[in-house]
This record gives sequence, structure tokens and C-alpha cells, in this order.
Amino acid sequence: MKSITMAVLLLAAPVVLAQSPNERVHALQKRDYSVKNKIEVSGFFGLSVDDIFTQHYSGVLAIDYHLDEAFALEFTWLSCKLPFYMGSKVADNPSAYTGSWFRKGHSYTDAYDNLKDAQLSPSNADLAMISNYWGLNVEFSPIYGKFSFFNWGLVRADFYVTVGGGLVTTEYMRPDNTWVDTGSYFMGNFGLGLRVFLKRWFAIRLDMRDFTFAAKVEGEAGPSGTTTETKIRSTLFVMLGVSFLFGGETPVEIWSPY
Amino acid sequence: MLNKLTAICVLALGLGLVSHASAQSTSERLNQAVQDYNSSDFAQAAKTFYEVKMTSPQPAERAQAEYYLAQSLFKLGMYQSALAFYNAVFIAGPAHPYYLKGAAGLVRVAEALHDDTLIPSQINKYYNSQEFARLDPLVLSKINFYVGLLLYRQEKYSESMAFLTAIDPKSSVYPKGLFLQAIIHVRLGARYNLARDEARTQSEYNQAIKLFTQILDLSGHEKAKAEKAVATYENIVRLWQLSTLNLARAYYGKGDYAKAATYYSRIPRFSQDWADALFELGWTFFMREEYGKALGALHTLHSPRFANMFVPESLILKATIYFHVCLYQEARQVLDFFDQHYAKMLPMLEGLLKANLPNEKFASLLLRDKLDTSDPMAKVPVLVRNSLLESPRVGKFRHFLRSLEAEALAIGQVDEWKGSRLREELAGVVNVQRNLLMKTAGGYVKANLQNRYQTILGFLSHAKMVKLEITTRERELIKAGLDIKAEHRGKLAPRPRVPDETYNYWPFRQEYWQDELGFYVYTVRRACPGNKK
Amino acid sequence: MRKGTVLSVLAILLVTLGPSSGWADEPVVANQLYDNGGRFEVVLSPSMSVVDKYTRHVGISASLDYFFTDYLGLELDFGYNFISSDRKLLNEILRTSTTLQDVQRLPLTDLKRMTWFGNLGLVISPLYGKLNFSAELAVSIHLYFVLGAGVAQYKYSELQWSGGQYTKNNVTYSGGLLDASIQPTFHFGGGLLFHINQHWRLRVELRDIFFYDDYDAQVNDQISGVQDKKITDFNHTTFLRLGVGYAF
Repeated sequence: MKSITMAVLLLAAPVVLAQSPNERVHALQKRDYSVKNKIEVSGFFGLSVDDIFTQHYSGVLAIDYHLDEAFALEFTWLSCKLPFYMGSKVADNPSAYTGSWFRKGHSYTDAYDNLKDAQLSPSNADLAMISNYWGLNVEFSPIYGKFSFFNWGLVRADFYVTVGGGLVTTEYMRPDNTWVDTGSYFMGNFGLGLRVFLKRWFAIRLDMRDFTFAAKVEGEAGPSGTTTETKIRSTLFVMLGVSFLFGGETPVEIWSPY
Repeated sequence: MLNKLTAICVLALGLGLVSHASAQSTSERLNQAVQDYNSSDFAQAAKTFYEVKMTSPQPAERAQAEYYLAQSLFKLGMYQSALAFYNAVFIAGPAHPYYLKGAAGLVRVAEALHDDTLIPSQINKYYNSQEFARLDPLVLSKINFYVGLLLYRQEKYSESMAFLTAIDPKSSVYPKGLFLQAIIHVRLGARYNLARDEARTQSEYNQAIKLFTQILDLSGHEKAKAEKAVATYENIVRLWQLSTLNLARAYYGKGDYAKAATYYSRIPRFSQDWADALFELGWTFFMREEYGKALGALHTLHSPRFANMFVPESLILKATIYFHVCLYQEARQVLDFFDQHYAKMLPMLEGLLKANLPNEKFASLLLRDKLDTSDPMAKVPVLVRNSLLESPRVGKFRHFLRSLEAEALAIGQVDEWKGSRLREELAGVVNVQRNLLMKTAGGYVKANLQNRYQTILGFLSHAKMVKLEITTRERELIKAGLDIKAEHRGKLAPRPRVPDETYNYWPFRQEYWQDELGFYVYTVRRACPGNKK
Repeated sequence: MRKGTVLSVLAILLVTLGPSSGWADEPVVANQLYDNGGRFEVVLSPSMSVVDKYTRHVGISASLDYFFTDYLGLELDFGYNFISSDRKLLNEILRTSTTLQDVQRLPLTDLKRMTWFGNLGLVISPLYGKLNFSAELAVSIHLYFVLGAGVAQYKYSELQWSGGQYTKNNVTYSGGLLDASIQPTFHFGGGLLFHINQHWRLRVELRDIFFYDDYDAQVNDQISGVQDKKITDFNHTTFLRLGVGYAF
């Protein structure tokens, strides 16, 4: 513990190694990849990583407006399923639907199958999955960095935190393989990410986002009918995407004759 | 050209019919040689042209064979051999029917061998303005450029200008001519500056600036036009960069340091001229009293990337800056570094220069990639050798030598020439030229070693002067009751202001990231007495 | 799923952090400030398991690394989990069952919990870089990956009954030890090493330790009663480790 405290203290106040006690050397360079006033359109493939029984595969569209180098506003649409379409209604149960071609991003894991084999089942809340999410996030990018790959290639990246919320629709599958729409409600999220610049207009993004929502599902059937059960669920997504940046400051192109 | 040649040969053949037996024989052989030439059998053609040249009783046939012998050799890539016969045609004067073609041939060989010394010198010696007026203007422009360059090197500036201003604007060497003119104005500007003639100094620098700008304007300042210029003019991209660098120098010469800094900063990072630009930028910032930026420019120059560069003056500049900001200990450390790395070279350089070695012994420094330990040139320090190898003239020497070696090999491998006098003569020509080249390259090395020796010696005396001044200042500090250690005399300046968030800031921590080179800035302790800021 | 997910994340990281540009003839960093080559490092890392299905672990590990070059090293790693138990989720699931009567060994995968482990691994560190926090605090980092094998002890809890007949409320999965075997394991992972100075470092790391499991569980098919059921699976435990290292 002592060593951790010491290490933290040292990190907080790193020694600036200068040439002599009477001078300091600094590198002050124009950012090669400025994002100020740029609009960024990103497409991601996202995958949930911490759910036990559910597995989301999602497409994500994000549109960011970078207020400056550090702050951006982002509109996000995350979709695991074709929006506004539920499939065919089940005749004897108006809240249940069938159909799967529009539900490619929803699947259950081996653990769920394993439970079913053992004639066990998790609660419906643990089976609820995000179908579509539309939201707004604020992104703050306080860290910039660069890396050398085996001391050969150079990579520049910005690291950011993001927080926001919006409207989500969720669904879950009953044991009889019909799907139940749980309606739409608020979902919050926060996350971390990095943006690796390959060109001034092109970057690769890697996001980890935790989506938290209150899964409202059918509870156990009681004497007065089926109850509604609510459980707070959080789902961590890893999202890898590409982004295209438009507008902003036009860089001075250095070309002959210099 | 080939049709013309055939016609001449037919005519020659016709004349031969009415001539005596031996003449008839050479005419037939000449005709045969022409046929070989036309069918691209240049080795056989060269052999026959040579025989005709040596045996024909008819001057016209000899002249024709001589010129086409040169042409055949040129086509075979045997430029030195071709040069011998083009030269013979050229120095024969206007009486030779192929005089002007011989001159054009010399220009072609000069280009192929990258020779801007020997052939231009020969052309200059036999320059005939009346006859040359009949030359293709583009060929004449090249001749004028080469002669102008030669005269510039001989410091005959007004004569050089006369040739350079005669270059046709359509010629591929037009920007080169403009560049040389501008450089001459810079030289004159520096000369008048030394003579303290302010008006003429300004006038010369202004003319230089105008000419450098004219070269940059050839780009049209847009990509499409610049690409067209690249296709039209020789080496124009390099000239644009050199013009930018020299614009900076011209503004520096005029005392306009702000503009000088602007142009120095435009030299692309990692380019050939970047080290020069950094060093001179250091001086420019020093003149503007922007010491942090000056030290920053030198910091890049002293980074591992330039570890093998010969930059003695940059150390003297660095020590001088430290002296100006009263960091005497730091100044002394830099001067000690200078002593350890440069002054230490003097005895060895002096030994080499005073050893009475023939010039050829010096040539290996340039012409060989690896030196034997027994070679006296192996003793030359890496920094000095590198400084010599950086010169574009070294590349030309090396190209010339490789070309001669390849040519000697090729002459021995032509089956048609086995046992012939032609082979013997050409081998002799190449060998003579090779020996001459070794002498010339050796002389160049020797002169440059002498120059480096004098440079270090000069800066050594500067270093001694600065050390003396430091001692004086330190005494004054003690007398004034101030601490001799700068740490106790003032506060460290804060880190430089970041203009806006589109800039990235990194503290330097002894490691050199490639992308940070060129972006360093120092902040130093305000250690001068009375400096409270 | 779990192993696939972790592998996917690592693959994504590797692809994402690939070089975007470079000058082949020049090193990107000269005079590198923090070079691991030829150095030892001892690391003490508190750790906790993440993305577990039914188990949870909190422990500590100690490792000794030797780096042959800045890019390659060898690591000896020992760990002990002082908390190694089952998640509440398991009980929630058990309550939904009507078919567990007399079953002691649940037929579920990833039920085994790790108590201690010892590993030998290769450390590959392809990236060296630096981060700047708000243009104020610059920190040099290495990104590294580990890969190796070792042994670990795993526990497997039996199902205990608080009453005779099964009801929804009388069954708990309270962790009576049924199995405590030592298994050969493999591991892989990656992390960031933050340099504080020439000796002290901080590490953040994700490491997955897994083994191939093949054992007899039980089911009650309501006809023949309790019967053995073969379970085969890769049992994964993924740790998030925050360590302090000292290099010498």
C-alpha cells in the first residue's frame, strides 16, 4: 500500500528532466490532426462483452460536432434490430411477436443454452436486450498521446470520456421463443474511447461504453395476473469504428515551391 | 537526322565512284559504317568510322567519320570516349563541318557525366559567339549556363552574368540561370556589406530577392502549374527549396530577420537543407533576441538525428546565447564540448595536410565507401568526412568515377574491337581521364580538409574569447556580491505560451521523438544581474 | 462466448493501435527515456475478476519479469485470491428451477473458482508512447501483451439443501467444497505500463486465465432421478489487475 501511495504521488508530480537546472526544453507543435469545428461521422461495429446470457451485435452511427479540440457533442444511434418493426403478432398473445430476419443483432449465449439444458432459467430482466437507442452524448478529450510501434511507425491518438443518455427500446425472448417488446424509456451511458488518426479526414475509433437501463419485463404470474418486474441492467459495449471528418480549419498544404 | 546522314553517305559514295582506288575503299567503308550506325550496330560502326578517320585521304570523310565515331560511342554509353572525339571536332573550330554539332555533343556528354567543370571549361576556352549564334537556342542556353557557372566559380561575376542573362526563358536551365544570377547578387551584397556600403548592399540583396521570387513564381503558386514547371525545367523542385533558403539568407543579409525566419521555417523538415536552415534560424532568432527559440533550433541540430554533422559554429552560437543570458556555466560546458569534439581534431588534420601526400591519396576519402586502415584518409574524423560527402560535387565525382570504371570494362568487352587500335586508344583515353579525376577529386578533398581545419581553428579562437569574457563577467558578479551560480540569481521562465488548443505541448525529457524535431523551444533562468522579470 | 469476447477485444486493440505512419529508415524515438531491455521488474498487483458468469474473485498477484529487449520479456507470476466465491446471480437462477432435487453438482459451465495460480509467460511490448493529460502531465507508457501457461487450483462448490424437499426458498448454493483440483492453465492478456520514473511503474492489465475442464456433473431428469452428466468446457477467469512495479 505504501508503494502504491508513493507511486501515485510520483505520478502526480513527475520530475521535468531538463538540460540543466537553469533551462527547460519544450516541444510545441501544431496538432497534425486538429478536430476543432469539425463534423465527424462515424460508423461502428459494437459488441456487448459483459452480459452473461445475452449477446448484442450492433451497428452504431455517431455524428459528432467538435466544439474545440477537447469538447464535442455527439448524436448516437445504436441499433441491434431494425427499428419500429416487431414482426408478426402471435394470435393468442397480443404482446408477443415472432420473426427473426430483422433481429440479427440479438442472440443468447452458450450460458443461456447451458441453463436451459439444466432446466434452469434466468430472470426475464437478464434476458432483455437493447434493440435501438437514440441519444446525445458530451465527449471530453483531455488526453492526447502518441506511440511508436517497435520504434518504427508513429501513431497519434486522442483519448476521451463520454457521457449521455437517450431513448431506448428493449426486447426479450420468452421460453416459447416469442419476443416481447418492453416499450421505450430512458437509458444512460458513459464510456471511454480513443481516436487514432490516420489522415486529417479519417480516423479509427475504439469505444467502450456502458449502457445502463431499467429492464421492465413480465414477472411471475400471480393470482392477480402477471406482474411487471424491473431490474437495473448495465451492458458494456466495445465498439470499433471508422470516422470521417469534415470542415474545420483547412490545413496549410505544404507543397513545392515551399 | 538519319535521313540526312544517309544522304551525305550517298553523296560520299557518289563522289567515291570517280575517285581513285583507296578513296573508293574508304568511301565504301564509310558507307558500310553508316549502314551499321543506322541499324544500331554502334560497336561495328565505331570500329569502321575509326578506321576511316585514321586512313581516309579525304578530309571530308575523316571529319564525318570523326563526328559519327563520337556519336556511335555516345550511343554505346561510352561518354568519356565520345568526349575525346566530340572535343576533337569542337577544337578544330568552325572549319570543321561538324563544329556546332560537336559543341552540342559536348553539352550532351557534360549532362551524361554530370560534369560541370571540365567540359564547360573547354567550351569556354573555344567559345565563338558568332558561330554559336547558329546553334539551336536551347543548346546555346545550356552552353551559356555551363560557361556562366564556370565563370561564377572563378568569381568573374560580371562575365558570368553576361552568359547567364543570355539564357532563353524556354530553356530547361532557365531557372538555374536565374538562381546563379541571384547568388551572384547575394555574394556582391555580402561584399558591399563588408565594405560598409549600405546602399549597394541593399540594392544587391533586393535584386537577389527579386530573382529568387521569380524562380518561385515559375510555379504559379498552384499545384497544376507547378507540375507543369516540374516537367519543363531541370531540377526545379530542388531550386524552389534552394531559392526559399536563399531568400531567407538574403533577408538575413538585409537585416530583415522576421522575414528571414519566415523563409527559414518554410524549409521542409527532414529535407536536405533542413540542417542548414535550423542553424541559420538559430542565428536569426539570436539576432531577434529570441534566445529560447534560437536554443530550440539548435537543440534539433544537436539531436541524435544530426549526430554525425559537422557543426562547430552551432556550438559557438549556443555558447554565445548562454553568455547573453548570463548562464556562464552552461556556456562553458558547451565550449568544453567544442574542445572535446572539434578542437581535438586539429592535430590530426594538420598532420594530414602537412604530410606532403600527393593529391591522389586524398581522393579515396570521397571515392571509396570503406577505407583500409592503412589509408591515411581513414584517420579523417567521421564528422569531417561526412561534411565533405554532403557536397553535391562529391556525388558528381562519384558518378564520374563509376561511369569511367563501367566504360573501361565495357571497352574490354566489345568483341568487334578485339586487338583493334580503337580499343587501345579508348582504353588510354579512359585511363588518362581516370587519373585526372583522381587528382582533381584529391585536390578537392585536400582543399576542403584545409577549409575544415581553418574553420575549427577560427572557432577555437572564438571559443577562447568567449571563455575570457565569461571569466570577466564572473569576476564582476563576485565583485557585485552576487552568487556565481545562476540557480541563485533569478527565476526560471515559465513554459512557452501555447497559442491555442490546436497546439500540442510536450515537455522534453531527454528522448527525441522524430515528430518533435524542429519544434523545440527553451525557457531559461533569468540570470542576468538586474533582470527581475 | 467469454473467450471469444476477450480475444475480440485484444484483436481490436492490436488492430486499432497499429502504426499509421512511419519513416522506415529512422527510429521514431531516439534516446528512449524508458527502455526495458536488460532489466528486471517486480510487480505487485491487486486484482479482481471481471465479466465472470457465476463466480467472483478478489486477490493479489506478484510477478517477476525480465526483459531481454525493450520488446520482449519473460514473466513469472503468482497469485492468490482471498475472495473466491459465487455470485448472487446463481441463487437467483436456482430459484427458478423445479428439477434440482438431490442434485449436488450443478451441470453448468464456468462454475469453478480459482484460489491460487502460478504462471510463466512471454511479454511482448510492441508499443512505446507517451500521453499528455490536459497538456500538463506527460507520462510515458508501454503497451504490452502476455501469453503463457501455468497451474492453478480450482474449487467447485456443491449444492447444499437447507430442507428436505425442494421448494423455491429452501435451496442455497452456499459453496461447500466439492472439488479442489490443480489444473494446467493457459493465459493471455494485455495492459499498459505507466512509467513514473526509471524505477517505479504503474500497470493496468486485463488477463484471462483458462483451462480445459472435463468433469461429471449431475442432472435430475425426473424419470430416472439423479444421473451424471459430462461437462466439457474452457473455464475462463478474466482479471483486471492494477499493479505497482519496481524495475532494476
